Amino acid sequence: MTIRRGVLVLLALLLGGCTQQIAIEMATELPEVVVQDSGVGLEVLFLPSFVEHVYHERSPERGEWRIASGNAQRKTFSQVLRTQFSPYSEVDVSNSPIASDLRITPLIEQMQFAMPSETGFEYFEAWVKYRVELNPRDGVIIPDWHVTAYGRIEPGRFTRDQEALEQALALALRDAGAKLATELTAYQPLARWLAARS
Amino acid sequence: MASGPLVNFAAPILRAGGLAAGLAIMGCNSNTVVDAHSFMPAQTRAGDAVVVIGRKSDPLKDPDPSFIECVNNSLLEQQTMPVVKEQKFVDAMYPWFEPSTAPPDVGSLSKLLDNQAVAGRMSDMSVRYLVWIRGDTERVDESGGVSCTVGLGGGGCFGFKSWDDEARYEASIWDITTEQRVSRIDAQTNGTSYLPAIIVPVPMLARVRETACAAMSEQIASHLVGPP
Repeated sequence: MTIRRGVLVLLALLLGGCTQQIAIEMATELPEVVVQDSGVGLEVLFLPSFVEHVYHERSPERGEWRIASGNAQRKTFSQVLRTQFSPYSEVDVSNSPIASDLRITPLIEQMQFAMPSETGFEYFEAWVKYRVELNPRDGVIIPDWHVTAYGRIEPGRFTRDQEALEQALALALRDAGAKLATELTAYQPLARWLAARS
Repeated sequence: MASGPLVNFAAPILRAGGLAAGLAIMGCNSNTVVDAHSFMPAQTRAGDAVVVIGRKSDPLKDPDPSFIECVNNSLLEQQTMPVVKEQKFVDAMYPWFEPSTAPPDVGSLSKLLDNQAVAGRMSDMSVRYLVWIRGDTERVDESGGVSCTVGLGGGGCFGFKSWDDEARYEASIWDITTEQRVSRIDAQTNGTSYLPAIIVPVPMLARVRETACAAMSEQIASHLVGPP
């Protein structure tokens, strides 16, 4: 009986050992964003699927990973967009009427990561694929904007996998912020709508 | 009869010892080739600053951050002009100098500077020159081997290993005021390192990255100062 219990405990420990949990919480804010205010009012709809986003993966090769990045995602989008648009507001109810010139809804479509043991390269990589819904109050239809953010880090000799992946994901978020700030208003369908307003 | 195996054992040690002594006298060999093109004379004024940035467009050719730091430190030591640290500049200019958004050529920089917020921030930092660096250091060949053993009576390493490293970097200097490329500098250093081991391994390293850094920094400094 004791031996069987011992075996079960050992098995549980072994299985538990395969679980790696990562919770991304950005230690520092993004740098101040150097952009010009578009002069357009914006509200951002942060859905629970975005702000509570958890990437979960379980496979025999990689074990189990949980990457909770929702809070950092919200911070990134919030910090960039409030610099680009004014007045700026945030909502969390999808069926509320649009109160600003434009409502955008960011969604995470996919998240991926790769480790040196898989790619043969010396760095960790992370990708986050977003779809951003654009809904002007005036009813003009603007197709969704798609963007992929990427982060790559070459870890130090004694950096743990989890730590290196956190850094790669943090860089992917920084890239998401950079693309949001430089590419969103240059996205042709939105740029045309913005131009028509000025 | 007893001296035979002893002689056989001592001969390679003596040969390796002689080789190590020869190498120690000769030192590690490395050679550097610098190719510099000046497109227009620099017109540096007092207070103008420079920033050295690694071009991170190709994952396999990213310059090692230590190389950028080496060029930074070298320019600071030469006291050519004030040097703004790469991370400080990239953070201050966020999001315009990230790997995915940095201007790929001078024409794009010119367009970027039309943005008043960007031009204003650049001016606040007194940055006059951007030095873009791309390239890397890689091992191109290696031969030989060293094996180490540990026993009750002690341990030691025996053998001989050598390897060739190549550092290949390119710097492009942009003048923010004139929105022109001032110069382009290529530095290539090849070097062979040796590791003879007779009980204790004695590495004799050819510091190709550091040599390329010194050669490149010197050229950058002279191009920024311009003609007397």
